[in-house]
Amino acid sequence: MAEVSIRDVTKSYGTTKVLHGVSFDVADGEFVALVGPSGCGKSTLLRMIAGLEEISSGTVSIAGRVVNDVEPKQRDIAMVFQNYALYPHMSVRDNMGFSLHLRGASKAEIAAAVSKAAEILGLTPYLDRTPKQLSGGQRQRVAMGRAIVRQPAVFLFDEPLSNLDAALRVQMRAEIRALHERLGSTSIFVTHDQVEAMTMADRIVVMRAGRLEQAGPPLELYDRPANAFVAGFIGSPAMNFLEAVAEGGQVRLASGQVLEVASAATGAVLYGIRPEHLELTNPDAPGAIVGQVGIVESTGTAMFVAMQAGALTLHAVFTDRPNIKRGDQIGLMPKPGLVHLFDAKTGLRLS
Amino acid sequence: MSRRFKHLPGQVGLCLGVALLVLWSVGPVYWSFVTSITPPNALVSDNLHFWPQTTTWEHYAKLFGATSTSQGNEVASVWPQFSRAFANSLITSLAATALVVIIAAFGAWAFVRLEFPGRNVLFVLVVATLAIPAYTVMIPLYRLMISMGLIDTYTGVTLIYVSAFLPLALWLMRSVYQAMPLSLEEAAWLDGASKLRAFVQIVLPLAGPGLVACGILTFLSAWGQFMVPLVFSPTLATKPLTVLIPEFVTRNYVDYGLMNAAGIIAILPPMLLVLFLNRYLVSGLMAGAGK
Ligand SMILES: Nc1ncnc2c1ncn2[C@@H]1O[C@H](COP(=O)(O)OP(=O)(O)OP(=O)(O)O)[C@@H](O)[C@H]1O
Ligand SMILES: [Mg+2]
Repeated sequence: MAEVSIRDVTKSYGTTKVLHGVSFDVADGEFVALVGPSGCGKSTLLRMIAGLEEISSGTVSIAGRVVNDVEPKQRDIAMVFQNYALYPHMSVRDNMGFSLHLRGASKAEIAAAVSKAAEILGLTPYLDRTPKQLSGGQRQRVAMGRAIVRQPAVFLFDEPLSNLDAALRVQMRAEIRALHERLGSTSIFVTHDQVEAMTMADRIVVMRAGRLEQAGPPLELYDRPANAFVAGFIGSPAMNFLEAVAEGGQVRLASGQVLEVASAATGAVLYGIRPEHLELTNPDAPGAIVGQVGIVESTGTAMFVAMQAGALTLHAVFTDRPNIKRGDQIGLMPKPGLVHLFDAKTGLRLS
Repeated sequence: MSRRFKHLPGQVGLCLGVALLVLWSVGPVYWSFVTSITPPNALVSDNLHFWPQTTTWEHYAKLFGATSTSQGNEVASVWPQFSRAFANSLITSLAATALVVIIAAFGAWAFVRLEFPGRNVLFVLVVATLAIPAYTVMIPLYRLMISMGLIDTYTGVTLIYVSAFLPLALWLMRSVYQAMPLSLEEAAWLDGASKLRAFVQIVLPLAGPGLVACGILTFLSAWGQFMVPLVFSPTLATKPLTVLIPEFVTRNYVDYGLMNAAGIIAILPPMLLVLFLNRYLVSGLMAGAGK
């Protein structure tokens, strides 16, 4: 058990800088998700915590000790690799027991720890198989088992679910979360799937292009995104952004329509509203954004509607299956208090 | 025309090609064997037979016998020479093979995983030595070996073999390691293994087929070497079979039967080695490492 502290960490490959000073803390026993678009440096950061990648500047501390120059094997970390990296020539049992074996544990200790981990993960029937005789999901579990068998101070996961099918992902998501609660170990989980991050993490760290954009509990990121990028990244379907000019508690959209907002901001802004925060109204209702229904998609639980308002496209989600079809004239009313305003230039939150 | 016969011309061609290749490689061995069991007088007769009319083991008896006869006279047995040369061939080939495989296993890994200045230049230089024809270095090498007192020693011959066959083995092993995901080693480090431990316990077992291939290549090349031992192994102290067997040609008589009997015996070790190691040349050891 240990807390992890990352201070002004940068990483350069030759002259290209891929991390530009990232700082955040992970409390003891916390489950933190590291999210961001592809190539933003999530894996790089995780590998730096693991000791597999040199730290160009800044410090990484585990349990209060700066580990910049500590070998991976001395960091007391377990990592589940993006590609699992199971030892193909060893049985599942030996894969899971390898770390204990290296620590000089006795045969009986190893057997006990492996069978306990196998039981937790439902791997008991497969202990004598080699990885190639397992399905993708089972391999994923072996990778997990290899990590939990020795109860490390910190768990690192690099997109372990990215290649599983949808059903298995949902199942493994719950299992990993349950495992975390059971073991109570500090975990850092990299993913580019924001649903995974929202559902599993105690806290989410959002990164973009080597910079930290915002760190906080999932609902805080959803309710009060610090900038337009986080607002667009967290939440599915993504938030609508409308270019507008604000003045005296009102914003004027590019279409010319004027909307009331609870903000004293002035100047060019981005008016953000989540699809689920738009209500269907009559086109003539005051304060509604008016347009024509474009594409309508339905999943059964929800109905996704794209509305065309002049040059603007607004996405809305309804769960009550309203009776609308392509070409209908409708009004969309932003729910009061759920509108986000961002500075058009810096993208920073205004309201 | 049914599907089965659609590819008939191609299949006939393939069979023909295979037959030609088999004939090409097995033919001489067969002929050598036939010669080794043909009586001496039939060997020099005018009409050749695909299978001898009478067979005899007398050439083998001559090879293994304590005494032997040649053209009706009792002569000294060739067995002491033959067995000595056989042992020499085995010793130098096995020593070279072991050294090459061990050095290539570690050396190629260093070329792939260790960062050091001039790594790629050094590697290219090592591999480039493959392009140098052996005879261009023969004379300087001879002087070098003389000055070091290594002529006609196992050490000398083995060293020459190692220097000749190591570049190819290094090259082969480097590509084996390059194809192996680094994450396997990283996983082992995080599991608590040192770099050497991860190499020995994770990488080496998976590189097995590559190592076996290196071993086979090196052994076969060393076993078949003629020119190097001809120059550097003048006496029976280190003289191998390849050099000894042609010496069965005397001034006024070529003992074809004996030469071919010796040749057939000489084929056995590499054949057994390949048959034995072949089953370790399996592919797909890496299956299951990833998703
Ligand atoms: N060895 C390297 N040399 C140069 N640049 C590199 C190297 N490794 C990674 N990068 C760069 O660093 C950046 C971050 O890569 P990283 O693998 O951390 O991304 P990621 O956030 O994990 O992306 P993904 O979600 O696709 O896995 C990328 O732009 C990548 O091109
Ligand atoms: Mg990654």
